[in-house]
Amino acid sequence: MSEVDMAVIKPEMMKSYIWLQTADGLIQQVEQEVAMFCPMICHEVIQKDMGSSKNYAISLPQRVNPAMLSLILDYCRFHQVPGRSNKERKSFDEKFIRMDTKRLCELTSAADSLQLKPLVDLTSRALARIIEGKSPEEIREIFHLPDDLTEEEKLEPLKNTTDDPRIRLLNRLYAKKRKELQERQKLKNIEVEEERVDDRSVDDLLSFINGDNGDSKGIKNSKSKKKNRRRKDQQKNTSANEAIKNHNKEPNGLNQVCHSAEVGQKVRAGVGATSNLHDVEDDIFDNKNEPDDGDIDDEIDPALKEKIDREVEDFARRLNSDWPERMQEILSFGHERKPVHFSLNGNGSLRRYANSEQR
Amino acid sequence: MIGEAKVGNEDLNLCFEKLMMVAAGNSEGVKMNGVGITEWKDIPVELLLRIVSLLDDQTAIVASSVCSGWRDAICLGLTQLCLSWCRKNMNNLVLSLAPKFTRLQTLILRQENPQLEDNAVETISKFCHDLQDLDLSKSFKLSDRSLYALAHGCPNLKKLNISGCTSFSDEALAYLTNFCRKLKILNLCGCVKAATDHALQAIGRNCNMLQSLNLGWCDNVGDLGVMSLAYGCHDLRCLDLCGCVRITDDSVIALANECLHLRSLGLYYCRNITDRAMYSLAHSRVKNKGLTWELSMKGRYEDDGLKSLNISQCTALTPSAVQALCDTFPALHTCSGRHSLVMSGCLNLTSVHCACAVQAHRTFNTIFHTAH
Repeated sequence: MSEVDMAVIKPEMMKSYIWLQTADGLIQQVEQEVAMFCPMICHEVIQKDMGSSKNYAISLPQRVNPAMLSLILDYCRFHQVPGRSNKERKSFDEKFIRMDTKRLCELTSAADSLQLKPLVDLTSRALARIIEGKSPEEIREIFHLPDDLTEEEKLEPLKNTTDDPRIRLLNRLYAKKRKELQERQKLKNIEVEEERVDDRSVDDLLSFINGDNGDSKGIKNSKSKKKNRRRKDQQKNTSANEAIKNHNKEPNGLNQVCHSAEVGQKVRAGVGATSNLHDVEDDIFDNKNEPDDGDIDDEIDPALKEKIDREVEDFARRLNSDWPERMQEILSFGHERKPVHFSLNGNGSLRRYANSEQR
Repeated sequence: MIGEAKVGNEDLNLCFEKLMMVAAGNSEGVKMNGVGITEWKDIPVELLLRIVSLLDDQTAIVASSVCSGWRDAICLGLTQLCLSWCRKNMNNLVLSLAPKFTRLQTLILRQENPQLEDNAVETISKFCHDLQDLDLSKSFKLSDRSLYALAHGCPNLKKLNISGCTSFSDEALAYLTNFCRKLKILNLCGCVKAATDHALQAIGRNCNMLQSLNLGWCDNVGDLGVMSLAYGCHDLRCLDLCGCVRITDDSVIALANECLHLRSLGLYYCRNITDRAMYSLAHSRVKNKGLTWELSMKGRYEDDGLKSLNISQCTALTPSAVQALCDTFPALHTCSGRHSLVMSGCLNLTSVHCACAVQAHRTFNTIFHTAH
């Protein structure tokens, strides 16, 4: 070519390209500076002199499919430009990882196989944020993992992580109600005013719980008629008693709640589970609260019992549901609600705030 | 596998194969778009462990009960765990987790309210033989059984914190040191029964790699113990003798002569300390100029010598001795920015200043004078 011709050629045409081949056989060419951002590709080019032409295309690891490759190249294309500010890069990253979990997993895997550490860090952190605060059942659902552990194996560590503040609050609520019921039994023959005193103390407790946790179920209980509540408490307490005294294998109120709260959705009652729950229930009778002396009528109307169980399950479900749903439910109860104070962290769960409350 | 895998290669392969088998077996879950990994359970163990390392401890424990692949990966890969967030069930949690997490190297079990019992520590000793860093502070319920168990089960211990464990005896501690000879950092703050001269003699005999020892508020510690320590542990760098009221100058002199790498010394409330101790520290530095030449060749001159000294409530000291000390060790400061020579409660030592404080004072005076 003459010099004039050379001058006419546009700069882009002088760029060099690297040839890449994904595991499915597809070959494509990528600008050199973009592709060289990946250490694995860089290594192949420099050490093995590959990628210079279609016949010598660099074979990418199996975990990199064309869709992921194009995402990764987008990432490289942005970040390999030296002039960008940290703020720009951070902003790009935040937008970049907004994708569904499945693609995020694929991307993490692909980035890892290409040894692209910054992207691996970014995606790993995003996945960690997704996993945090979830129950095993939820994690299995999100990542399509098999449910292949025995009941015992599943429940063991969870049973002991009942330091979860939501469960502790639940335990505290039950313990308080049981104590209150016990007091009522003792003061059966004294005037109604005494009961009112009791009401207030439970209200205090509930508003304290509400102040930290938005326990909508608790509020509803406090506002319902005294008579109904007493009966309800009696049933709840009795069902709790049954669990403790009889080592009942059927799901009952307390079992359900503990399971639901711990496992998230399904109610399971295995042999191992029940004996484990006994320990949990021991925690309920801890320190400040005296154990129930058992002067309670054991007969329960099955329909009422079901109603109670449903309410309790509802309560537990609400504890575990997401913030927007919870807010909607609270708002839908209308005038009965007291103002509640919440603290949100990034993904909408109340866990962190409740943790600080533990002190 | 690339990167720094903490897990043995055969273990990783085993896990990976297991993950693949699970993937093959579960027809519903696997969706292979021709090629490429599309399902989470096919990712390498290393990557999963990296993600788990970003999780908080409670979530990591939950993650280990998600599926068998994750359980195996986490049980083989988890090396650090902290359970201090437990309020009630720490003991049960340790009992169920220790047999699973056998690769633990760091385990923090500091409690806000005492929960841990001997059977949990015995379980740890039975399964976690790689343990190097163990924090059992404020475990009021533990007895000597725990120390005996640790001696037999965790010989690789490098860092042990049993501060606040008031039930331990010195016999058990001495027994432990006989087996855990790699100890580098030992915290016995508040262990009044355990930290006696007898135990310190055992430490001096057995734990020659010891670098940091906290004997705060152990008032049974006397000169005999500290001197045995000095003669045995030449690599000692940090020693806290706060509240060890029986200590006299002899201890400090022994430390000055034997522990040439001493960087931090705490003598708070050691009322028996006199100027003799201060001068001995200063002289040891001068005597070892030959050694410091060697160190300065390695570029570590600034690192040598005392960096931090606490002589609060040591009311027998006089300004001249302490000033000599301050001049000898350039890293000791009384200026507000880098206050490392602490002399609270020593009202007669207010005239002692480090070089930088004097400099600032002089500059101020010069300016003032030139104005005239």
